[in-house]
Amino acid sequence: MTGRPRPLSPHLGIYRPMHTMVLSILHRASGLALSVGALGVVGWLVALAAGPASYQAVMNVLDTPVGVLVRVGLLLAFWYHFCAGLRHLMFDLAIGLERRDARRAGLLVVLGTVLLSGLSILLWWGCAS
Amino acid sequence: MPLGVWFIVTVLCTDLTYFGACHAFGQPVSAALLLMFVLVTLHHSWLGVRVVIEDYVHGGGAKLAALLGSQFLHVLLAFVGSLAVLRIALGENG
Repeated sequence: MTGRPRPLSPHLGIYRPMHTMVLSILHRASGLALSVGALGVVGWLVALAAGPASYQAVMNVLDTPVGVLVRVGLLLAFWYHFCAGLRHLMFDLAIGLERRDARRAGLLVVLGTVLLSGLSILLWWGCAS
Repeated sequence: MPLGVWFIVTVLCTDLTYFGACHAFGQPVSAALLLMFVLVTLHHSWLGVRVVIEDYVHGGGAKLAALLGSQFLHVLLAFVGSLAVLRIALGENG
């Protein structure tokens, strides 16, 4: 913190945004969103444990348009974090570290997220009706 | 990760009325899986948030406070969530 200025390593600001970089940032962002979502899930469980009245109050909030939007957002975040997590697991096993492979896997992550989220929403609709 | 998929699919398919939800998560196997899901999720979340704090919160005091606060919150949620799952499973509607 003090003393003479330390040399800085190349910082984020000097890089042209690359889609692999965006994927990595999204992995963190979705993880953080899901942490907040976990808080919400625990709150929902507490309401369920507390009885019908409190549960109904929570469900009324969840069924508002904003509530549905948040749930869909968390669903997307979940599947993104899931797919990107698999990609990172692959990297940990030292598979696909070549630039071309890493980019291709990144594309698969995006496709996987769209596919799994779409299937989930269809399942949601199918079960609701 | 498999627990997360189980939870998502179950929640999407469950009739989320009070009795529907109690029934779906009150069965012994579902309750056990739900308990595991809560604990494993919060553990993963704790580790993830810890790395993010270590990377982005600067200054010794602020970093320490954020790390301890996050840890406390995660442990608290794990206990509260576990008790809620047990109460759902052991309640009369389970």
